[in-house]
Amino acid sequence: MKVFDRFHVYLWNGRDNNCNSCLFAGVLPGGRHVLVDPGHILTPSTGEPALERLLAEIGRDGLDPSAIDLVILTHGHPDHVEGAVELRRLGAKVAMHREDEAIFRRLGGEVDLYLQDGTLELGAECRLEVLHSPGHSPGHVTLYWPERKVLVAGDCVFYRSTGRTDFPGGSPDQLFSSIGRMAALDVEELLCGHPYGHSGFLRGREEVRENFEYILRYL
Amino acid sequence: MEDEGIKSALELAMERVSKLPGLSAEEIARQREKEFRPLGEAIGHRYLEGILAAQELAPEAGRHEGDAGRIVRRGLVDSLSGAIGPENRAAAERALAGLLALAGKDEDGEAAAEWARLLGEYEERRAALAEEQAAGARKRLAKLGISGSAVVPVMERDEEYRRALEGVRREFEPALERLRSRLRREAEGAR
Repeated sequence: MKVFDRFHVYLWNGRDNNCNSCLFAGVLPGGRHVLVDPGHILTPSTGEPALERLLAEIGRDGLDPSAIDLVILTHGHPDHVEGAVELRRLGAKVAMHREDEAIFRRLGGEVDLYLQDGTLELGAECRLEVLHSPGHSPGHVTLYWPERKVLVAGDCVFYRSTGRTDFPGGSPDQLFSSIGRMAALDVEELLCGHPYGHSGFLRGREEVRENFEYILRYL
Repeated sequence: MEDEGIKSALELAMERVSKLPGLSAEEIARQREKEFRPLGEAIGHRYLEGILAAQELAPEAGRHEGDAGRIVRRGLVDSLSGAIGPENRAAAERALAGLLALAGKDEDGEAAAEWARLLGEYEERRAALAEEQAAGARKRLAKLGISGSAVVPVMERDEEYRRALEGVRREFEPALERLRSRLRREAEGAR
């Protein structure tokens, strides 16, 4: 689904667990794309062809899925990264935080570049801020696009909920601190890592603000 | 009644052994080395993994006496001195402490200073090399449209960087080997 020029979101609506994805379309030289969190190849319980479905959706948006040159992983959990192993095999580079690399490698993945706190420039027109946001996993990152007020939050926040902290390397304190940092940003489009009880895509400054307030007050 | 013509399996085996040519002194030494050296190396591994304390090394190696004890100790000393290198600083410093304990020293300011000097110089060279190579990797990524302060090239698997780092490693090897030899001599000598 095209949100606006250069930004598409793909919201998971299958029966099994899988993540939401998004695409910074045509931002790299030659009109190449950057995909965030490709998710599972096949979902674990029902075997739904998640990656195939994602690439087909990208195609339906009039974009060439074979033009994905970079895959950014918000963190290393299988429901976000499995597809990256396949996309890398097809030629894409993979970027993630160093501290989640070990999890990704256990799934057969290889990282081409690490991400840390700072600015990530994708081509000439897309300037993102990478926020190291540990808590759900030690190397979790979120992506903020200040110019378009977009926040790709991965598994830090969901609709009226937060990511789990009981996985290895998880930390409730760190997650709370990471969410506090995100809540201070000016966000109008919030893409959560999963659609739990909601599409996982919150639109409008008010809805985003209310969600952060709810999370910080009640969770 | 016993039939003297029939021999037991043991008698047959002993008879065969008695007909074998005797082992040379060199072969015996080789056999003993093969038998006892791994015991010393295993003590070294257990120490480096944190299972044994430095004060336990000498008593552990001392369970064997005479020639066997010397071989065990040599295996232990070699395994510790082999861990002295710049790649794994924690293991190297633990190995250094173990060798000093075997030499009967609580501290050796000279050895510690030499190690710190070598490690410092190596780290300085490695960091400069990594920065130089990372700049090249950043340029390659920038050509693909990927840049910014959030981008950290993965140098560990960069072939060019690995080759260059191996070159730096080789330059430091003679000085490291002098330090290892000195520690080995002192640790093997003190008993």
